[in-house]
Amino acid sequence: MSQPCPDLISFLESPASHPDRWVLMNVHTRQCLGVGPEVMTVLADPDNATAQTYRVWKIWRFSHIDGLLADPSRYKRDAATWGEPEIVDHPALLKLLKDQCLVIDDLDAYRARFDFKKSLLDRQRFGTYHQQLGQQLIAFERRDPAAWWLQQKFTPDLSAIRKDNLYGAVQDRFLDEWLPRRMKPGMRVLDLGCGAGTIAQKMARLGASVLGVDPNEEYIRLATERAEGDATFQVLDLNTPGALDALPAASFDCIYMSDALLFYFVPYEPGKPLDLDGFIADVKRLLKPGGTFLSLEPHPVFYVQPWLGDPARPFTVMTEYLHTHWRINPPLSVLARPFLESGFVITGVEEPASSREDPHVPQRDAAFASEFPVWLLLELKLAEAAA
Amino acid sequence: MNVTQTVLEFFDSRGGLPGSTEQEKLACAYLDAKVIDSMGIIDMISHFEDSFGIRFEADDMQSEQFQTVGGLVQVIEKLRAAA
Repeated sequence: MSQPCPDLISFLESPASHPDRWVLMNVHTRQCLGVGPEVMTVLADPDNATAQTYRVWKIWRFSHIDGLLADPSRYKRDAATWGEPEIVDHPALLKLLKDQCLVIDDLDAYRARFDFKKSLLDRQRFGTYHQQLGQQLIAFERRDPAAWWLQQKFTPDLSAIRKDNLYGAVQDRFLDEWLPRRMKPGMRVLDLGCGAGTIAQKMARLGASVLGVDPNEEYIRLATERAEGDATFQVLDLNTPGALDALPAASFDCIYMSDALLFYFVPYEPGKPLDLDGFIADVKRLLKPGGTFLSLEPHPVFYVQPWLGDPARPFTVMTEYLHTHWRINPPLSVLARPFLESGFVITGVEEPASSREDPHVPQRDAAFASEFPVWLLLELKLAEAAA
Repeated sequence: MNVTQTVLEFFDSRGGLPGSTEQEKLACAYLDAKVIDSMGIIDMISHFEDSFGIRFEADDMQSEQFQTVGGLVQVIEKLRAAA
């Protein structure tokens, strides 16, 4: 027997201009359908066949394909862009509602679909966020994921952080304001996963003596070519056991890492965990007494949550936190615990936000990120040094 | 070009399908049977698109039909007829 999915919400996307266009959204799977209000009676009793016709708009789209930091809400925003509706009969409507998991046949069978995808073509299992993204990029869009990922954060020449998305509006803005308060002339800094050296260069320009390491030879070549001040770069793959052994103990005042620590908690490939204990031991060994580990990671609460509501007053719907199906990043306690148990204390927490009126990004992006921080920075020191 | 033969030859070149008869081979769910892995799927898709001058859409690739060798043959035949 068909039933409305318990994970269904409905709302008006553009109530002022289109009060008859509703969004039906499965908040867990992020599937959507635009419908006329006449569809609401079908949701109450889906199998009650009628001779009526219904208006639907196929508004679902994999919006992350526009960019990692693009609107994660996965439907065509603004009802004015939906175009003409399809007019469908009851059986066709029911099929569309079931395809989008807005109406289901069997709750247990539906719940069982929240599992890792088994292959690139697996539609049955919803999979993790990264599996969904990989499936979309590789199988459906036929794009090179490595090239796509690189385009998200940096300008095409890899010389700067992009200004036209939240990397620029939040992360870059925050670092430009915050790093000058932390970097001191002569301070020795290790940038783990430095890419083409953009952030390492920011720190070197503030007088720090920076070593940037990254597994990608091309990035290191570019970083070395552009090095200003006291910045050096070295090819080094953190996933190779003993990779950091060649660096002398107690040699850095600060170790910086951004957008990479999450993969120690939520492996990129399911079932292939990275060595977090070994990583923490390396950080402890390499820090000077009193040194700081700086970790800037996607915020465990707000990263890629749907951006709902009017940009003037955005809201989101939280669907999971401690036990996540999307598996992007760990909850705060899980992120902090292994460091705290290894003798670190948290000496600083920052939740970078955008300006509400950032001229470089769309109004909705700036509005959401000015209220809900999409990154979290932790400053950690060894306990005896902190005391 | 015989679609069934071309598809079966592709899988033969990737280590072969379980089963002794053509009927058994066509019934094989090649992903579950691990005849090809995740990255092999991309090779397979490109190979069939190039061989038959078709393009699979997301709905084709995610259909239940696409999961078995015989179903794959049917999807290809449908796309060729529509081309």
